[in-house]
Amino acid sequence: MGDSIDRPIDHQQERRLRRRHFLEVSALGLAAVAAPPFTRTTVLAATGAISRGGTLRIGVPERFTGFDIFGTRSRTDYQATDNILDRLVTYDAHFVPRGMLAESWRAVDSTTWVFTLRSGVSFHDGTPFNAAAAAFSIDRLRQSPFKSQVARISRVSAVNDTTLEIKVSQPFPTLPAVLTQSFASIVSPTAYQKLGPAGFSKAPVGTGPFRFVSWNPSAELVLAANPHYWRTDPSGGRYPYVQKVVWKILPDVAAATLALQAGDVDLITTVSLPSVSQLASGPGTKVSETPTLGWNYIFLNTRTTPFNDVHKRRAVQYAIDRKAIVDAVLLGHGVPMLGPLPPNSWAYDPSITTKGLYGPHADVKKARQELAAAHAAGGFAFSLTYPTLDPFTGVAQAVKAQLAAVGITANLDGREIGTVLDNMFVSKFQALNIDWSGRIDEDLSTAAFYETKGANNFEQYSNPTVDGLLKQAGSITDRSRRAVLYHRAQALINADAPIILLFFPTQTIGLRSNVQGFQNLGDQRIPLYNVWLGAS
Amino acid sequence: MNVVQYLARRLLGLAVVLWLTSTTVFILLRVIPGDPVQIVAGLGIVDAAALHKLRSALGLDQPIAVQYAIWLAHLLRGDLGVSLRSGTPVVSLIAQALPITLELAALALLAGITMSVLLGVAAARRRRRIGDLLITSGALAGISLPSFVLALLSIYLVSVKLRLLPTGGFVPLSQDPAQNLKLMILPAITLGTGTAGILVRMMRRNLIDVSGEDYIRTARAKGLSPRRVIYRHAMRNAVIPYVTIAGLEAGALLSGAVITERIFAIPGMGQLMMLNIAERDYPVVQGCVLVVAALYVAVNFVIDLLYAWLDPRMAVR
Repeated sequence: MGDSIDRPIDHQQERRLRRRHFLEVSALGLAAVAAPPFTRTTVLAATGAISRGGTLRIGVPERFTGFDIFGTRSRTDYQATDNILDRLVTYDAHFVPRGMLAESWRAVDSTTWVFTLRSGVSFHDGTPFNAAAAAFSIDRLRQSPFKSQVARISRVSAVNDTTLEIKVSQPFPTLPAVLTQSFASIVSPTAYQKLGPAGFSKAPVGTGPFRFVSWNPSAELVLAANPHYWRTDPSGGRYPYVQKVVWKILPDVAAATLALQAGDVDLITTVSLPSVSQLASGPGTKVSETPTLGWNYIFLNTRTTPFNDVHKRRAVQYAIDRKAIVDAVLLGHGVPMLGPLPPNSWAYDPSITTKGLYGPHADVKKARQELAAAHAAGGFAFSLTYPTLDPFTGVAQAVKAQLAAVGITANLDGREIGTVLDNMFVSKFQALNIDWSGRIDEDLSTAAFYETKGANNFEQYSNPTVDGLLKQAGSITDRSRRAVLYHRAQALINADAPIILLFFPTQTIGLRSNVQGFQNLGDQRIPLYNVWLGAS
Repeated sequence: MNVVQYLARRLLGLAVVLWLTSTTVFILLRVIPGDPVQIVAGLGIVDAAALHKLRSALGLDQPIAVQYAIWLAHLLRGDLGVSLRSGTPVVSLIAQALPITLELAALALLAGITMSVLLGVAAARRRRRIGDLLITSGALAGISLPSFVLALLSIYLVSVKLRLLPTGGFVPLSQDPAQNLKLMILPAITLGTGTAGILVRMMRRNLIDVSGEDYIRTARAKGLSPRRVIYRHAMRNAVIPYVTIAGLEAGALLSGAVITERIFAIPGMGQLMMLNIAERDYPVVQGCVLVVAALYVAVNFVIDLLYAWLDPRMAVR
């Protein structure tokens, strides 16, 4: 199943595909950053002076399939390529776009963007990074399977070595946010043309903090520090700090936890929920936890019975206790979702926790009122399709029990993930539980689910007012004005309840205690440029 | 029937089994829901045109019968096709993974047989005493414990707590034999324990049964040491039914290796099959099943030959 930052979260573990909350302050020196409820992120306070050198060993749960970012790749592939290739734009902890290979940018008019690029940067193969190289990469993106995401780009041209001009056919205010994604990485045109996509896929060349050394598909990937990396740390020293990175394939999550505890690896990207507290308190290990951009939810098919009736949808909305689901199924490692926008996003409306339509707990009285309004006071039945993976199996059972309390019968229809996806794409379901990996900009994330005929609108929802608000928000650049529009859309969407939003899982990374500097933004990425190995 | 005819019959049987197995898997893979092209793309906003192109390129838009005919034609030429995901020839993927699983299975069988012979003999000699009770209970535990529980427990004790061995991974034998064997110790013992559990009871039972025979009493009367009595005389007969079970177990080890390989991060056939089933990479799965089925039949063929050697009464006439 798809599993990159551009695809749903990998629900693994066990297996697979892809699969968290606020860590209590612990004696190991974890510092909680004070913030309004639901935005508390745990930042691991770095201890000791920065030391250079050493080999960082990372355990990942699935094999790499290749490093040609213009093809379809898995989350694990992107976690590696994000350290080998840079992008024009990156973002900060609130997902506000910041400069990377581009120092600055501006929309000259409604159809022209100009990016001013960093100078003095070169690729791992020695060739220079310049506007022509950037144009090459973006043009490749425009021909790739992801081209629909940059369809508004009509022309890319290098004005000079440090100036890139992008012409768009319609206003594209989210262009900088789109360029932060892994498929928009900048590749060395020389290497890409010489090796071709297949060759580049086995030996990528970029400007990133680490360069590709070797890859044995059934065993490990080896990267070495880029001695000429352009990025410097606050004191002026060069990134990266570690000398070598080895990515090992550890398919079993329990075994990966043991490997971390034994010190055979320094970092694991997937941690099973019961192991989190063990690793957090254990000798030699620690965890980094952050709510993810992605979310877990239930599509309600608004075109078929019973959920073509808004009152029945709202009844389900009120009858579900999101906090209980997080506590029982995720062992507390998640955040109840009170609206379509994640708490660490710049578009999030904090007042939703007090003025929102529903809260983290169930409201049985309101659920019963909705059922009465639907002339279904005795309840009704429907089938809930879900993939037989964690955490969906737990979620489905929790939902069934909670709905039964108001007389609604959810008939559980658990299937293999491939089947669930097949049904989802053609809206062949009454209710379907699945997840989504999220995006840093709401136009890229929310709109696709709620706009009429949106790319992810499998619940077949259509509300012209919401369409208008979302379109408007997607066409202006002023973030504060966009936020207001998203808040209004959020209120309408909550009332219509086409999707039952459940929770944001947390992204948990397991680390050895001596691994310092790692930043977990909840975006499924594993940035290594600022990580160092302290004394063990 | 002479040797040549016998061999010919066995080979024909092998061919039939392989054909049946591969056809069944072929059909099943395509009948179950889940589209490899869609799974590769996932929920990402990938356009339908690109998916369609990919599907055609992989030949997955043809009717099943056509796909089957093409696959069979390639198969008869020894071409198992290429992986849908990576384009690597299936034969080279298997060539890389198979020796690893064979090594693991062989070491596990060795570990299992060694453990079961030593413990079976010990149990038979201490019949009805506390040693016997401990060994037979231990055997029951070995059979009942799921392999992943045993694997994780052993890693926890040996690797995490005692720091004696690494938690997993693999190094090719040709690259570093010492490290390779070191990494194989725990997986082989874990995998072999299930086998040992079954075989130790069989060995114990057989030894006890033959110990009542005349020739055993004669040997003892001649003054031979108990050890010599067992290993030179009793074992020869006790081992025949034991070999049957061991043969069946050898085949089961190939499938038991799947879980063990996963937990110990060993890139063998088990891992290859598991990962590619989830990804619906048809050619790889079909190739793997074919090879494993062939191996299973080959192992049983060897067992039959072993019988003939052990017991001349069973030799082909």
